[in-house]
Amino acid sequence: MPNSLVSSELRIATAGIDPIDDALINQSSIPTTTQWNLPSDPSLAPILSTIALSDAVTSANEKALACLTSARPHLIGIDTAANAVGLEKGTFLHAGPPIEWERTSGPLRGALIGAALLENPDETPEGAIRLFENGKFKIEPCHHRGAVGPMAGVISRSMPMFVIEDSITDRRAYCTLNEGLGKVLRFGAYSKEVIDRLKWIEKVLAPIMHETINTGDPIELYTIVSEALQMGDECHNRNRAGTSLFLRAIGSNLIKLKRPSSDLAACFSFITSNDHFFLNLMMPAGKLAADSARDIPGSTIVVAMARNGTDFGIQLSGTGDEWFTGPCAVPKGLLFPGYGPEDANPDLGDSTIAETVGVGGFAMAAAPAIVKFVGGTSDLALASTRAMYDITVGEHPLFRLPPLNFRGTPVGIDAALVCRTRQVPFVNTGIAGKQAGVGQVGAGLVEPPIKCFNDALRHYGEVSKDWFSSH
Amino acid sequence: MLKHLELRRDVYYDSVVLFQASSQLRELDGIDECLVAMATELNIRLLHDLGFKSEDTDDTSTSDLIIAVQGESQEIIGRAIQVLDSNLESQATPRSEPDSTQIHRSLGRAVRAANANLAIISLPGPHVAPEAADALREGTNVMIFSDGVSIKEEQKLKALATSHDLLVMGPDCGTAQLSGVGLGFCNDLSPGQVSIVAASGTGAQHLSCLLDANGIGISSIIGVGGRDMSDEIGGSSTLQALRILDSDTSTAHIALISKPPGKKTVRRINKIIKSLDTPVTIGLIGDPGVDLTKVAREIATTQNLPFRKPRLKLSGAPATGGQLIGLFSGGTLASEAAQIITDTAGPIAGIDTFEIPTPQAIADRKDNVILDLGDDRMTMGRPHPMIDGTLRCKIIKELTLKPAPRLLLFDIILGFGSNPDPAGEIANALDGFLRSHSKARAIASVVGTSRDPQGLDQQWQTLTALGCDVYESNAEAASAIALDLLTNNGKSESTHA
Repeated sequence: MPNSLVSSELRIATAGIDPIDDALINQSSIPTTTQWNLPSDPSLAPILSTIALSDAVTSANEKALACLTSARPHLIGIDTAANAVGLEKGTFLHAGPPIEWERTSGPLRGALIGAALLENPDETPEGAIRLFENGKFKIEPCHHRGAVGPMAGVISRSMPMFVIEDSITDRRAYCTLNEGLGKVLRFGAYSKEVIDRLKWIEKVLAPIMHETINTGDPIELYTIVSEALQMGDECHNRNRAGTSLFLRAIGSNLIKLKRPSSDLAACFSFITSNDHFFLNLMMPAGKLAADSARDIPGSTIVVAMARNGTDFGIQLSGTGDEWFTGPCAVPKGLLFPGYGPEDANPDLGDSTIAETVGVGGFAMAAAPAIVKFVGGTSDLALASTRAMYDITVGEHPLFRLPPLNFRGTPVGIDAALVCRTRQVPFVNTGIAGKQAGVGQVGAGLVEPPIKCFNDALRHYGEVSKDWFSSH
Repeated sequence: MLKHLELRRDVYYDSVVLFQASSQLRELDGIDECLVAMATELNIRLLHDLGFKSEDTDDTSTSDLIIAVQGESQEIIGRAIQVLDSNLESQATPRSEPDSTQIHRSLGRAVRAANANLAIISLPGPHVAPEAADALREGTNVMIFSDGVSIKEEQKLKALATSHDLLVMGPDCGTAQLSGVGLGFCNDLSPGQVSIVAASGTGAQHLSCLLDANGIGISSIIGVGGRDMSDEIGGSSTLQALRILDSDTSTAHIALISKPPGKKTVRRINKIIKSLDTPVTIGLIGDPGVDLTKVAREIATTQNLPFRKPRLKLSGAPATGGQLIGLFSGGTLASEAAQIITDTAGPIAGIDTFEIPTPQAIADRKDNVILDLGDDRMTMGRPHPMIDGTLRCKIIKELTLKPAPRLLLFDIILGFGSNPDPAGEIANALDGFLRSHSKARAIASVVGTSRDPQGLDQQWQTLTALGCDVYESNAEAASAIALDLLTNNGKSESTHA
């Protein structure tokens, strides 16, 4: 088709100085304007220019997007962390990028102590602390073992884990079973009540769930995510619909099990009493999708965002296993009755895998109810999601948003676009109490530090020099 | 402190709505603590933690709403419940449709939202390429007003445009007109069948105004940027513009205006021009014997249209020669004048002969000089002289202080984007200059149409009233000066030592 620039009516978009726009308006040609910003670090201009001008980067990012959106995660069963992620004795996994024990925050510390007590019933909290301090107990990010964990995200070898498999790539990802609300390990609590519940999950809930899952077909998780988005969940801070749909999927098989009916009833009510039960299924499902987009040379797409309560870290597809970190912010949001801002811990958890794969804050438009966490209106929910289209390279083919005329959710965060627009991803989150063991004190939004993205792009520019010269 | 507890049976509110309602209540004066929540097991425990008696909540279900308030007085608590009720009520009221006005954080997204066919960029040079590349990938033609884009970026952008059959106008494209809309610096032109492809903005303006004055209208003006016809770029945008205009039914004749191009590029462009159905008149300004007025006359002739002698109005002051100083806001007009005067009266110094071209240094020169005040070296940190003539006024004021009389040549460019009264802006300085010496002379060429917002006649009047010679044709103004210099100074052999 020949270029019709001179033969059709002008439809103009502009970026830059006002006089250009004014002159167009004076001639009744109203331009669509850009709210342009200097890059978050103006010294990145040369690499941002190289990226934008490169067809090879564009195709690398298209490939990453295809991987991110083509995963089809299924729940296939439950296994112990020792088997699932090969967790050795004395090694514990945690949320977020790597961290030394000395720099851990209260909730992560509490959760690690709790997990140590769970594995070593004769140990004392003080003894456990010493073992972490002197390096006898090792800690490592969940992400390094194909796993993800909400909040503190602590995993020890006896813990049962959901096993999620991608029917396309046969890749697997893992996550523990959600413990419920109140005083729980993931918020750093390690009292007897917490340990007892973990034991009950291991001895009663996990075997029953495993048997239930294996009674029927593997449960397709992205179907549940898609439906939950139509039912008011954004699948990070609100999982009420997802949990209900999951329970509906397993319900009839669960009650048919030849197990004590009191146990079955206890499992049933454990799940119904915890709206976030599905979060621990959504997260590994997202992890599978994000992992399939890893290690594509030249790609600037974010494949992990995670927080350990001290550092916020991201990884890019094109920069391998390198983490780029900045200080975790304290989330802004609504605190539960009885808590004040001084009780809130800096941002925590691997659950930002949700935003990485196009839900959570990116699907805020689907969940007007929880926009109240940030004191907003449903208009703000729409604006939040719309803003994310400006930093992503695609729209999710499965995850559709009714309020945006069933447009797909924004997916595939491009670090280059984040730096260019200074628009960081919208991240929904629960707020953990600062003191170990207090539990959840609220929920809200958190801003990832822009430093992660600046550092990532700078590093990408350095390591991609050869790649650029050969593409 | 008083404790108030009430239960509302079988109602449902989302927990987040209730969190918000609770925190609003807590902010009220005299309210110490409160809990508004569905009666779940967790919330009942919270209620007990807040000191409310357990028997009150024995008989509840999760579909009941708990309202627990601790306040200073019954009255305060009563008011708080009213606030709560109106908050919960407002949740049920339907809101207006969400605002559809949307922020676009990058040009690519703005282009997508507008389904635009043209993206205009006037950002700082180092930040142009990413926005331009995004717009091209969205399938949109791009006009880059900014300068400071590297030649490598220009090459890549134009290669990207070619692969998508798109056009990049610029970088440093100041003038264009498409579908009757003037973009950047542009005059109010009558519609017609001549289209202009220009690597020079002021060249396109002068040509289009000369044609307009002769009743020849303009279809499109496509700027391609000053570097497009260098061999490094190879005329990529020029070729694309020629192709676009050749297939445009409203273009009967094409004018191509540029500084002299690279040798390879000339061959390439000539080859393309031969293959076009539409006749093309080429004007390479800076080549001996070529000027914009001649190009305009040639276009009129090929179309069998009359071309009248360009207007001029002389002050009557005798031509007595002297030292020439040319202060131009249009780069092509400066090189056109320099070429014409050099051809007749010998070499003229340009801006590259200055170490630092300050007003003082310029006024101190003893040889004939013509300066493009729109040159990058002059516009650093200040607006283009077509918008703001402060620098030119400063130089003229410096000249006024010098003992020797000067011959001052300058341009006045009207149209959209230009200063609202360029002649008025310079009038004061010019008046002082002309009064300072009996032999001081000022010669102006005025580029504009009778419909331009500044008022063509008014600009002429301002200048003639001060005692300037005013020309419609920049080439004729330059020729008159060349003749004066040759007659009174003789032909000079070398430029400033």
